[in-house]
Amino acid sequence: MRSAKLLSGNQAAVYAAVLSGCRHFYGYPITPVNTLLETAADLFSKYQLHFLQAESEIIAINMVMGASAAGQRVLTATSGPGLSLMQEGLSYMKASDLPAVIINVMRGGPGLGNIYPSQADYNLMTKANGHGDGKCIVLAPNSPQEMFDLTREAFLLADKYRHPVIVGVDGAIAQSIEEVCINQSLILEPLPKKPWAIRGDGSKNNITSVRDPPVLEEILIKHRQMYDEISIKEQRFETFSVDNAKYVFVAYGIISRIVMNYILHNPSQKYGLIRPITLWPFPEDIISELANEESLRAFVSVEVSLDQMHNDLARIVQGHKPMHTINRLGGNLPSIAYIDEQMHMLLSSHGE
Amino acid sequence: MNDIFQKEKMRYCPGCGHTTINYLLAKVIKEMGIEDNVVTIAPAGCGAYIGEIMRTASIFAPHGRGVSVAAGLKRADPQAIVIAYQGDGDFTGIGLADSLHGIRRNENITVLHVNNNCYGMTGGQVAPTSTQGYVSPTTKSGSPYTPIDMCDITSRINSQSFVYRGTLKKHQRQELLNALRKSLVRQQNNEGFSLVEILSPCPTGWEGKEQLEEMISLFRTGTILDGTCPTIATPPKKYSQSDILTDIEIEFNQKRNDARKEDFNLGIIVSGRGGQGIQTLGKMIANTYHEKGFNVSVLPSYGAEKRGGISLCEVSISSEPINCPKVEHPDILVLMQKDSLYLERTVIPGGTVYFDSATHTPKRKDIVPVNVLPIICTNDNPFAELLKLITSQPPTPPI
Repeated sequence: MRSAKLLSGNQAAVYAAVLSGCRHFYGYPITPVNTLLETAADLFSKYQLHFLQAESEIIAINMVMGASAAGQRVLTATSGPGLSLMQEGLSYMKASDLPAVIINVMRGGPGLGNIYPSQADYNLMTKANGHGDGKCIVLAPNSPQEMFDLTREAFLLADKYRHPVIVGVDGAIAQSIEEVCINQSLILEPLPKKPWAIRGDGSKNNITSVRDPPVLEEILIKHRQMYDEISIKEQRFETFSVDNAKYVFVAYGIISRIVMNYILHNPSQKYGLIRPITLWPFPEDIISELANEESLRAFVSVEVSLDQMHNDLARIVQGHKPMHTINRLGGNLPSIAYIDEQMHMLLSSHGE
Repeated sequence: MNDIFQKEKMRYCPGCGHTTINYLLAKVIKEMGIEDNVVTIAPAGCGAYIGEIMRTASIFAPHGRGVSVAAGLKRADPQAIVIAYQGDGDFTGIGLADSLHGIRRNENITVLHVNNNCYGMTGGQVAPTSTQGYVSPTTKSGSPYTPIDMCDITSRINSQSFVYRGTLKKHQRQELLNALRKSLVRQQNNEGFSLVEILSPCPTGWEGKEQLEEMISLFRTGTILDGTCPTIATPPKKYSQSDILTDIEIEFNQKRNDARKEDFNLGIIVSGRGGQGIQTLGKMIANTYHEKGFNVSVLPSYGAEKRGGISLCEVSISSEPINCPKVEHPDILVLMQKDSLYLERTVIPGGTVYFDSATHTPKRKDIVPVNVLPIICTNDNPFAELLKLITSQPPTPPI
């Protein structure tokens, strides 16, 4: 008998949050994250935790900031249009060294776009997470189980580095329903003490992002050291069949599962897959390693966005290997047939 | 007072209202003995330095967001006395939605609204509170718009709030101190939202002193509303982390059988219009197989319409871990509307299509058509019947 529950990715994330000692959820309805909000409303009120459907994403992210400043674990969830509105809040939280977990479920964009799945917020999450200098760790689940595991990880990382952490997932995985198990070792870890928090208990801490140039530079140097540390320690990825592979796909989220299916459908070809699990820090080390492999003919990025991940990959590969992209856009997902068609053209361009 | 009020940290212009207001706030806090509990929320604007000047806990909020940050903070730490110190641009302009909704929710916080009729720090530009005709760098011919009266608005959307508007005139000093004190005592007693607005001079931004008199003539001063808040009921049982874990573990320990050992793979697509129960049926199918011990994966997709539009539910069932939740070639297709007919060609030869003969007829000869209209029309619970039918069907035998 297995101990597991069928949950959607959205639902799994909420369970992970509650089990991680998260006591605050402030969010705003937006498809495809509505079931996450509803699950949070049910679960948070069941356990006497704090839930509010805020009146805008701006209000939500600022309530997140307030609760985080008081030393609590706090969660919000949104989609592209909402994440755009949360930019300022993210910037302030990075500047103020405040942890939080932000789940972004990606849909077709820009603009209102549509409610179908995409990966079009890659840059928004990895590069544009608020004005000014700074970065956010971005985790990329590819299943409801990973939405559970990585939401849990996100709380740990957010507290470890005192920074907001984004969990970035496409609408397909967030809404897909699969079995989710609770990893016992994750739970019942004591919550970290936060002596820096703003509380009405005499500690009289001050949190600010208003800084004159000498102070701000000092802080940014400290942040840079932290980002360097994160870049070394926190790269996460999964590989499949990359040893002696001729073509290595790079894909995350739902696309990684479609590509995996494609690779298994073509066992005679020497295909491999690198699945980034952190989008920032991007798994540079494994990519650089593979870029030096003789047997590798090319990298193939597969994403449902306009080359956003591909551009990062290209920067890392630095022309050492040919690079190709396979994209669908605007809320469409690639079929096996589509990938096949693209690969045929690609292979013939390599004389195969 | 020096232990709470660091005069030397002040950067205000001579004649600025903030100087006196900071002093008065510090005085009240000191008298009430609450400096350990106070958290000030500093705004963008000249009020930004309140955190440096007052020796209490403090946080600098994004422009306009004082009430939202205060709301989150207060919920996280109810023992804190949270004071959102905001200029008029902050509270009534960029932050209007934050302010109005926080007021409407009766957040248990205090807002100290320093209203100087303009955006002081950036050069005295017009603000939503500016009196009509106010001349500023961006309204050189005078502001054409009517000013916003936040005390009036607050009193109208929250009858339980305490709302006071005052000035820094000496003869009103005691009244202002009383109002400040009252707003903080209310917070100590969990009595809901309090707003203390102060009409404050901005000698650098304004053309002359008469601006203050104009504001006083336009806006009512004194207690605008002294509302009462009903006692909040004591919250029921508190859950500890281990209580929550135990509870959730029970939820996760559903009785399931062991999956069959032999190779079993089934792909199902349920399709139709929004509102027909497509997603529900898809999930029911998945649950049935999950209870039997199989791996399942469900991938919903649907249009924006709550009724009508397209609804699609892809269900994968397997005795092995499922690589990908997309079903490109289903064994079973449930086709409940004409617009989904294009899916017919995706079915594996030898597969089955459950269709609704009222809307269409399947065209392919190499798949088994099953008309479900009789089931839907004659059953009280068509889902149960459909579910039984669909889940009793084995995978398509290879040709």
